Amino acid sequence: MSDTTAHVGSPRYSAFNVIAGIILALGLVVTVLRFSGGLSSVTNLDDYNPWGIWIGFDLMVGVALAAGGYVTSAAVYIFGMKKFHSAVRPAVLTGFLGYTLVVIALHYDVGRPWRLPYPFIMQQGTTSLLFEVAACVALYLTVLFLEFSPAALEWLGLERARNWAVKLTLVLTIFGVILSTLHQSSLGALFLIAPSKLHPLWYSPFIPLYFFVSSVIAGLSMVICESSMSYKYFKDKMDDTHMKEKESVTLGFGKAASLVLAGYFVIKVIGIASDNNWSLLATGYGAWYLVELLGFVALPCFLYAVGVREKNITLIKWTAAWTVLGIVVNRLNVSWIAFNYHLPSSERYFPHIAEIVISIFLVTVGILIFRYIVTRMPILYEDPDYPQH
Amino acid sequence: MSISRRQFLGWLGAAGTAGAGAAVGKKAHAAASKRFEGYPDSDGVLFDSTRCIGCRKCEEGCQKVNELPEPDRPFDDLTVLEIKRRTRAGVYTVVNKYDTGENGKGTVFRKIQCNHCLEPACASACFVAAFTKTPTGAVTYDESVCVGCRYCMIACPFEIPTYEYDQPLTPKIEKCTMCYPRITQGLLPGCVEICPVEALSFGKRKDLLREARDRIQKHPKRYVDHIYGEKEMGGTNWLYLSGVEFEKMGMREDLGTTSAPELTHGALSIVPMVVGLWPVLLTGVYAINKRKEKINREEKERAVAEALGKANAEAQAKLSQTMEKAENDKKTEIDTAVKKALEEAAKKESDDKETS
Amino acid sequence: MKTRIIRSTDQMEKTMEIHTLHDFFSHTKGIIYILIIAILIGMTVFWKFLTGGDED
Ligand code: SF4
Ligand code: SF4
Ligand code: SF4
Repeated sequence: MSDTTAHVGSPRYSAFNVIAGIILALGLVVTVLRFSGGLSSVTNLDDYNPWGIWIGFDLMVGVALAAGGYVTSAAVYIFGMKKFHSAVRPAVLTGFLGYTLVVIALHYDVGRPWRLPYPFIMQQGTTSLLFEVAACVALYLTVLFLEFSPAALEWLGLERARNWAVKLTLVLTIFGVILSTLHQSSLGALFLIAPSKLHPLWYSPFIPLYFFVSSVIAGLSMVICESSMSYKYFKDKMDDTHMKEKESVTLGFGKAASLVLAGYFVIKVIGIASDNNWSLLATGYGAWYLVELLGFVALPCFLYAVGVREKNITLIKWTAAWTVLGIVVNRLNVSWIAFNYHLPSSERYFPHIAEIVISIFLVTVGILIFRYIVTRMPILYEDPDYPQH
Repeated sequence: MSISRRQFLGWLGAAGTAGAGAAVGKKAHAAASKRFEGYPDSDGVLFDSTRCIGCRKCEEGCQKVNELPEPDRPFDDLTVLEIKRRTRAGVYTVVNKYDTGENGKGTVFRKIQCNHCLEPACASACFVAAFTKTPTGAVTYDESVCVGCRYCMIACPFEIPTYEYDQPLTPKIEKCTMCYPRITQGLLPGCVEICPVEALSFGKRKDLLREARDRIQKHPKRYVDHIYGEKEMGGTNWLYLSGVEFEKMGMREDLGTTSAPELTHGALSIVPMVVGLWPVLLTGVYAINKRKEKINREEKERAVAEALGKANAEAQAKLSQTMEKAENDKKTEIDTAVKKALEEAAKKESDDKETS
Repeated sequence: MKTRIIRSTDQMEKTMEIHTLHDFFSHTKGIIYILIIAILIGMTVFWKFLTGGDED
């Protein structure tokens, strides 16, 4: 404990605070600009490119990386992998914060944010995949909130409510998996309607499946990353169980990620074959596609496997970070790089600096809230008053 | 009984229809048995690019009847044709010039506006159903529900809908309405009315198709043998004739004929299946694991019990052994005692003898 | 001119019938979404009922 108190005052920690402060200030400035001058004052969006990185990164990547919540709780509560129990709470918290930030980002992006509930209360555009995404994200955010609530309730000392929330665990987990399956895949399916705009290597009738499977990969890898980061910065908050299980979580999730990556690689290749897109691999876009497929799918699959065989925790951690980067690359490819591939470069989109500011701003807000919560609530340790099972 | 079987079946059918009708409120046909061909008498516009002279009058007509903002440059300034333009906020339609480099056909013009698809991608994509395919053929937009997500712009294969990016809080989508308010009153769309050379003709889509085929047949040299919009993306109410490949007028010929609802309904129809089957699968897995745990626990208990039993038996054996040993010991003890006593007695006897 | 007005009104009467795939899907998917909500609730209740006999 004394170790960290010293840590808090250390220059690195305050440097983080200073940078975070600057980012928050910039973010607030852009926020004011966005809601006073409209999207054109802070983004490079135009009629050809209606979606920028607020959708491509904040929504697409955000939702994928927040998949750790459902993946972990499913592993523990449904597939009975009790030894990963200590990973559930941090993963659910990351998921909850991730989805919250996604919804906040949407408030910047859509024209009239207060109308976001309109699809449910005014008119239901049931033929739209976006309707499905919106419904599932809204419901899943509620599920994550309830899944997270025991930690907050323990912190607040509300025992009765906490016990009631814990009773819902199984139902919530199952709902979480259903809703995640649906909206993770539907985020990919959003692009099914635009075969003429998305490059054929990325456009595939299987794109919903790709998005779903890769969300599992993203979830597993994020849990590994998040656990090693937490260990680095919040070691003092971890209890013995967490410490003890940490390694087995990394190994177990690394193994699972390797396996799922292998499956993902296979279905991607089958996708190329079923659309007969082999010849496109020889083009410029094809080279970039191969970078994604080999560099960010096949390579981490192999590295994870090596790491797990040799019990090389460091290798697994770095592979996890690489895989997360690969998910970012994939989502940006679909929503930006390979989207509108048919347009001349003068009509293509490149994010405005203010768009990047908002994206970084939201990530920073997420980290700060995460820090606030794990330093107060029983996330990385068990509340002694409320032993789990 | 006077009710014949046929009558009974008739009633059943009637009850069925009434029931279904009451339940769903609309007369819907089973998807498999019915093909949807669009509203049979819907209107459309035929644009004949071989007639268009690029005068921009249609832009002007559109601006007037829709009360759109004044253009950056006056409509009679034809130099704007030198740059490629598209629909944008406040501009429902534009005319572009294309140099095809083809002999005798040289420069052509194309008017761009919403094509009023038979199966509009924008309508299919909008999650508040802000777009309506009306029976007139016009695709209309309702600003009062629009959230401003811009998915309709992603979806439209013709890149038509535009957005008011400079509006901070009340941006809306804008696009041509085929002058819906006018055509329902029996008036012509603004552009059609004003066109000086009849490059635009308004009428029922089916009549326009016939007319277009007619023109191609009568002047095979003048036209390419393709009516753009007849099948593209499921067909559109706005149709095009051209003397050059449509690709050369910036119109994509690789869009295919699959309509937007066909592209997405596969993914959408998996949704209820997942909702139906995932709980079964997941609770199944859960139950299996729970059972496995239970068996594990029972096995463990049994093993413990057995171990205990074994330990008991051993203890018993040990006990009896000790007992035996103890008994033996006792025996020896008694023996010794007896012996000792006898010896003592003998000794005493001899002592007595000695003393006496 | 006049004939056009008449035509549009008798079209209005026919709007109850579904003419486009889009309308067909918004109709069917609407019903399906309602079913989905029912399924989610029903499944939970059914699971309770099914496992109600178990001792633990
Ligand atoms: S052209 Fe685009 S905007 Fe017009 S109806 Fe078709 S999909 Fe909608
Ligand atoms: S921008 Fe408006 S009209 Fe377009 S899809 Fe979104 S809600 Fe519908
Ligand atoms: S008014 Fe007619 S001729 Fe003139 S640009 Fe428009 S369509 Fe062409």
